[in-house]
Amino acid sequence: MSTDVHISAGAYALNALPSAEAQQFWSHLDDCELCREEVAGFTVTAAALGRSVAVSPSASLKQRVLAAVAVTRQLPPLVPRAENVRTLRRRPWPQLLAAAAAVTLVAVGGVVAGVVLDDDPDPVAEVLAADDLHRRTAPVNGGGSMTLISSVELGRAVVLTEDLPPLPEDEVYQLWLLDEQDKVHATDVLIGSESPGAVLVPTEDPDYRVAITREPVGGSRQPSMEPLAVLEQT
Amino acid sequence: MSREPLPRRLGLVPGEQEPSLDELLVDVGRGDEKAFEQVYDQLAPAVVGLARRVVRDPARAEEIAQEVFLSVWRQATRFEPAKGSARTWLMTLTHRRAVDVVRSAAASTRRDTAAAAEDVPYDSVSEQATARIEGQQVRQCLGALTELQREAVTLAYFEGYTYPEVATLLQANVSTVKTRMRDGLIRLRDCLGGAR
Repeated sequence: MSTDVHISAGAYALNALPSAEAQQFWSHLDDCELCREEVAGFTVTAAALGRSVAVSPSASLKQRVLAAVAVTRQLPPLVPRAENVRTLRRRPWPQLLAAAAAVTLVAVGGVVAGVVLDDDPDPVAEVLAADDLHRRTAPVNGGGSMTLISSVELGRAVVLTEDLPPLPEDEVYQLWLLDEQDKVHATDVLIGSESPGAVLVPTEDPDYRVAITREPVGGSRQPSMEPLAVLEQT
Repeated sequence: MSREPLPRRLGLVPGEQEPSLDELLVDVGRGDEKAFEQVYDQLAPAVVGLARRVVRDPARAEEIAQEVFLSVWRQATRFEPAKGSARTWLMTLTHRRAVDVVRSAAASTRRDTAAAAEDVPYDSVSEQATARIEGQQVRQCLGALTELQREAVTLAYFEGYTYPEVATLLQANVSTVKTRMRDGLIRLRDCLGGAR
């Protein structure tokens, strides 16, 4: 079996693994130094292939790029942490989920994403305290789960993610809204290693479903892959 | 001639050795737009070329290139040369983005797979390669692969197909194709030597 996974290094470096397999292999990289070395070498090789088809870009592209750069802020550098840079920060969601399910959250006075619910106008807390809560959970393709707690009345939902596999530094999870025609509406909601486990999603239409994908850092306007999970609000 | 050594950031003073791409990108991480422009000038042909090779639509390819360069600008603060060169990083970003674009297009409209496979002979890599030495070297090294290795690698990389799709096109066993991709890359890597 492990040989099988190892064989994937080539296809992985060529971005030729279907997404679920790519995630599997990526998780495997964590435990396989040999694979990491091989992938690093293959990546250099693949890049050389890419450079062999260079063309002259238009002058207008350069102007557009430089103009965009001039008005775009750079990401703050990553300050090295002792260890586990790749590990997602965990919060004690199980208690929270149990609480939300029983709609006794306010009474419990639990802490959500570091925000005390009592007397707090925090929008996440408002959703969790709404009278018309709906809660659904689904496994996320590749690992972990996503829970959607929504209030139609408030037109907002809270997404909790649990045990999502950590992503490479240049990727994030992004949430999307799908309408009845399966048309995709991008949200700005990105879930990276630094984000608290609970995020707010403005849903407006109760018929919208919420989907999650992996995207390059900064998010995308169109999803780059089939959703890893889709949840209905009601 | 006891000239004061200039700080690296003023690397374009005549006579001074030009900073490497990696050094430039480190400067970009400190907000240096001039350094960014140099990175752009050096890598835009490769970025646009690869994007165009994969998605084919020149306008879409430029959009991808723009996204890649903007993403490089934003993420340059986190660039660590020890983890991989700037050139490889940009090509990796470009390829991933281009493949994402063709895959999401394919997901919504499963149309021109066959057409694309038809109007591009599998060895068109060599036709499109630039006259640069590196391009020549890549061509030579591709030529040293077995036919199945070469087709597996180039259909995946340049057409953006997954290995099961490549297997279908080549009417070959999926695990064979996966294995050939790895074999092919090993041979290419060894042939290209230490080029970063």
